[in-house]
Amino acid sequence: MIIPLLVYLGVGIFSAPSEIQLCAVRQVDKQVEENCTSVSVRVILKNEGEPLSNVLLSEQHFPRTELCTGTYEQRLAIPGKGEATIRYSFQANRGLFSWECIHVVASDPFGLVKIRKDIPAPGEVLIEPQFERLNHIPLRPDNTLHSAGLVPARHGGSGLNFWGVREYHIGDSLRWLNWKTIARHPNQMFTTEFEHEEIMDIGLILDARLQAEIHYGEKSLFGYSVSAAMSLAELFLREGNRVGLLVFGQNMTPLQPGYGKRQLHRISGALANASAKSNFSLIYLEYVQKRLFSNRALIVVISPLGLHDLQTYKQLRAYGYQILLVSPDPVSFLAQGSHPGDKLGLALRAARLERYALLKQLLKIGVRVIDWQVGRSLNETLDSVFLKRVHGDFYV
Amino acid sequence: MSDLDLKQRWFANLCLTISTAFLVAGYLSAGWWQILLVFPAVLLLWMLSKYLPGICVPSVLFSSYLLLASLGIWMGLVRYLLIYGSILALAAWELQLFQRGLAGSFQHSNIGYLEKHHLKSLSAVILLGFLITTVGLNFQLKLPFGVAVMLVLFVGFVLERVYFYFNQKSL
Repeated sequence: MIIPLLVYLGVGIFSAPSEIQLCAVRQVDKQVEENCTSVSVRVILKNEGEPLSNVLLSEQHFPRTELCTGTYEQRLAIPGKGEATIRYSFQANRGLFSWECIHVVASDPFGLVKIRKDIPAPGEVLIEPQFERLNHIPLRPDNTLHSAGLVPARHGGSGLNFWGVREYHIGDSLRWLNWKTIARHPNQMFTTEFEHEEIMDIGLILDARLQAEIHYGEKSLFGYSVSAAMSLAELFLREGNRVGLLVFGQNMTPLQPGYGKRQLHRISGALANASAKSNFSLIYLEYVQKRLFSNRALIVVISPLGLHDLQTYKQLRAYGYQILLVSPDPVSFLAQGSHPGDKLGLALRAARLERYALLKQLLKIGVRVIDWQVGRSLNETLDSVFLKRVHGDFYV
Repeated sequence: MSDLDLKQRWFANLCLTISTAFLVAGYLSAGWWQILLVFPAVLLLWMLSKYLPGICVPSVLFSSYLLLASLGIWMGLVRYLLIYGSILALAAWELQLFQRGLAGSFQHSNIGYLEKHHLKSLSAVILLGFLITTVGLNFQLKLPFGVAVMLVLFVGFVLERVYFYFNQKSL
């Protein structure tokens, strides 16, 4: 009775491969779609040794991704001096995905004797968070940087808005002579002065604490926060301003301020990797900020706002920082599925009142707040706030 | 389902049918009609397999077959039928496990080569098994019990060492 098993074992042992001589090349393609990005991965394996009749290939499985086609584990055979290609694709909203190797397990046809090896197959793809192109926001910070820009700088120079009239100096353009004032003072010459326009120094702070991560079905409030941070960064950098970023959470990711498309690429890389973890108290924020952002910077915080954050904002205001808070409303986010009159409805109403009281207190201490209902686009919210000044959206 | 898939399924079902027929023939030749209960038992197991995902049905069937075949040999039934049947039952088991292993795999262009190679190796096992069984049953060598036990232990030890050597090499 043992004969069949012995023969089976013997054939398996003698047809087992002695070594794996494979080399791999990885190709990664990215296609940006409406709500997410699709990544196609192709790995070409070349066999430089003996034929491998039973090979199991395993790829790394990334969290927060959805497999579209193919599988992460594939079984195939590779003839000697031949090649094989595996393909699969997955979707993700954002993140940095990198591969170092592909796991190979070669065995005899019955899978009795196995040889394992990691074949180097490096590759990397960055999926940037999706953002919406925002319209210009007419912000007027107290301090600006001395470079030409679009923000009125509260002193005279070259610009579009009238600032004042001053005495004519040799070299001033004759086009800007203020004839009305000259007519009143015939023996003197006067020049019209315009408000100089400069760039802002912006410090973006993304709240990546655990309480910022709220899920409702497949949607995530933190995803909206990341998208808002990316949209604001793109807007400010597009207008020539200097922008720095701090992702405040378990991994404090500070990014030194910079300009232009290179800074936008760095910011998108930092935001792609951001995830809400741990539970640092926001009180630590005041210790980090002084090193990263200058005291002339306008701080833009993207945070759903916690009950105990008020004290920190008071301290920051006391130090003289200007703060703009873009707060995605967690109450309306969770209220999507509720019906008026049920118990959840009462709890949501209480939460709304609590949040309203907190925002009022922030307004009193001089923090400018934009209460963003995430069901509405950020562009619409900002337009209604800055153009129409609708009470309830913007607290002046 | 590819042509090769269908071929494999057909081959597995054929091996299972013939091995069951050999087992039943071996028992019926000695008047043990109770062996016919095997058929409803197997049918029940296949039907319950959907509700018992943790149980590997081919392995349970194969183990049961080996047990019944060993019992039959011990009872002095026709050895040729039972051993040939065991070889075919092993082939059916291996094919079913192989099909399961490939079930989730992407339909790769090289999968045909893999399946062909597997069928070739399995055919070699069946042929060698039949040959060794036929030669072994025809040439009767009388050995003292102690020597036979030592020989079996020695063969088992050699095989275990060889298997261990190959596994060590793979690590």
